[in-house]
Amino acid sequence: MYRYNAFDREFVRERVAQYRDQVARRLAGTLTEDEFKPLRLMNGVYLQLHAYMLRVAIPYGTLSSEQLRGLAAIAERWDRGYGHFTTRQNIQFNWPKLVDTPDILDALADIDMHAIQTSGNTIRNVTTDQFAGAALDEIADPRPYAEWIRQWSTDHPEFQFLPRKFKIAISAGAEDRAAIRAHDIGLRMVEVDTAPAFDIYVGGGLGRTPVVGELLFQNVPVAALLPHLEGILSVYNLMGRRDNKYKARIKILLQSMGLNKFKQAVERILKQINNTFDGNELLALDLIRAQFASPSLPSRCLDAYYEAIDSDASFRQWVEQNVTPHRQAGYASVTVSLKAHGQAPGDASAEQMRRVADIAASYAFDEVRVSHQQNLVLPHVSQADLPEIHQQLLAVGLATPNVGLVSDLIACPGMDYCALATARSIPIGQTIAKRYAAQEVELGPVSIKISGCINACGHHHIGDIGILGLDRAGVENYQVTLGGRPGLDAALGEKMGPGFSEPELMLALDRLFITYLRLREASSEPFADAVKRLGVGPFRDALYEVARAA
Amino acid sequence: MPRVKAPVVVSANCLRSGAVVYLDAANNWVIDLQAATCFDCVEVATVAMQRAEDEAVVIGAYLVPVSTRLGEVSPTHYREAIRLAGPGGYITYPSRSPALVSL
Repeated sequence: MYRYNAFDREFVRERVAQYRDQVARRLAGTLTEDEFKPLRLMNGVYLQLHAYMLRVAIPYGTLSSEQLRGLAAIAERWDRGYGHFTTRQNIQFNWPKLVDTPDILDALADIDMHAIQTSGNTIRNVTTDQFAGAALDEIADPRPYAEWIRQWSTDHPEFQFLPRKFKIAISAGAEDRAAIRAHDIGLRMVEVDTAPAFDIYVGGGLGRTPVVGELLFQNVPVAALLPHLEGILSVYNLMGRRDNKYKARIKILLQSMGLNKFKQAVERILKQINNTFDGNELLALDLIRAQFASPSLPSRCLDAYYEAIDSDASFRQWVEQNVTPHRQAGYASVTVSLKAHGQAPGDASAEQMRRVADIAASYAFDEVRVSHQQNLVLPHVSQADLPEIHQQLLAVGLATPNVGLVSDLIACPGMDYCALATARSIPIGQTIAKRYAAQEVELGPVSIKISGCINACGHHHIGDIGILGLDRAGVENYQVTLGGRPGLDAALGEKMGPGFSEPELMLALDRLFITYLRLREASSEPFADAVKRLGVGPFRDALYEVARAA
Repeated sequence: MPRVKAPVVVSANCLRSGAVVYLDAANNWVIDLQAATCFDCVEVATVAMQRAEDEAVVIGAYLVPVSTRLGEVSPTHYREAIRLAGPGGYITYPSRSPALVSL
């Protein structure tokens, strides 16, 4: 993984020193809140409902053991002993005091981390496949390119005050595991004459105007990637709306210009800026690539693994659900579920973080990933070590065998924490997880995504079942969408009808699942496939059955 | 934004800690809602809020509609109830459908 050099360290320390001074001036009264707010936001510090929140960048979701231990230490010393892993592969601390935030940023700098560009109208954390570098189906590890883009976009002088925030995702697998078409820019790695290249999707995004990104450029060679990104960002920066923040994302500009005109505008910019890329950026990429060399993966005796598979049903179930095949035989990727039934999705205690860090150090080449589904991943693990890893995860409540099932749901912080939320998400997720825990293997793979407001941080538009919490005349109300999906054939879920109160929602979901079990062709037909085959009609009927009967 | 209706209290977040605070009769910011001043007139509350809002102490002051039934002050909107109580403490749901229980 990428290791900071002297320049990186100095840059981050300077930013912390600047921020420390800004906090001191705010507390001394020489900066007003209006002056201070954009400065704290540039360092990831928000004010939420009950407290400040610090969002820490985890570039493309990759952490070392040392970094995860450092995050655990921050959670214990300055927060309430836990952190929340987010759908942008970052971590948020929900209870820091403003006066402590400079010290927290210094503690982050100690472990080569920061909170820069985790807020504000800038290019945010580049996200990618949590199995990058380990996946069977990828053409190359996308993380060196994600790091390259991170370095290009960090403190980019042109792109610190964009019309709105800007999100980039990159995927290199046959299956898109990074939801690239739900991003302002989605990059899909392809091969052209055995050389890596990129298909560039633009204008995707969720929020109040959900749009699936469209293919703008195909087969862009590596050398032309940064110029193309700069061209797209430049057009957006020049022409994106700044008069209305709800109309300021690139998707709105793309809709108003049309794909062809937008593309022509980018091509005009490309002609102007091509000379500014002199090849040094490719040398930088080579240096970055060298830091992402695959670990040496020696062959190991797997007798103990097969013995455990035969003798331990709970281990077998965990392997079936939470372990993913690796590109190298004898190895696997482990998804550490942060969705124990009834827990807040994505939350991990300091003890849990430390245990995962210890396991990564002992068995997983010192590497941990954060998935956009709010779980942790150990990307390279010998199958020989899986029984021991399972035991260690069990001891701290991290071995729930539910990846991809009902309880592996995504939920934004919602009104339990977020100042923008219109309803709670976490308790809805907790209740769903507990309610269907005993049936979730029978129900099979299904993605439930819950957002506590129209900003859609819980990605509800692209869930098999999407749930959107709203305020209806002072009462929490939950709208259901069906048929959404991420991936290369991404689709937005269809709104089913009027929303439900919290108790009604649970009964409606009961009817929905019963209908699915009745109508599926075989137990092997997942919920999403059944909805695709039958259309949403019978499922909508099921949701509103009682209401209609009344 | 719907017009706020009395009775109301004045709330804000503490600058240093971010904690939820309320304005009391002595113009101090306190964390106990029951110690907050309850205003029967929105205009009077607004003046009190403007006088008390010191950027060196709190940020984002605003009026919170409350109920004062049985002598207890409680927010009328669930957002403010959550803001007061903190995360957690959730509701009870109806029991599962028999068809799912029997799976």
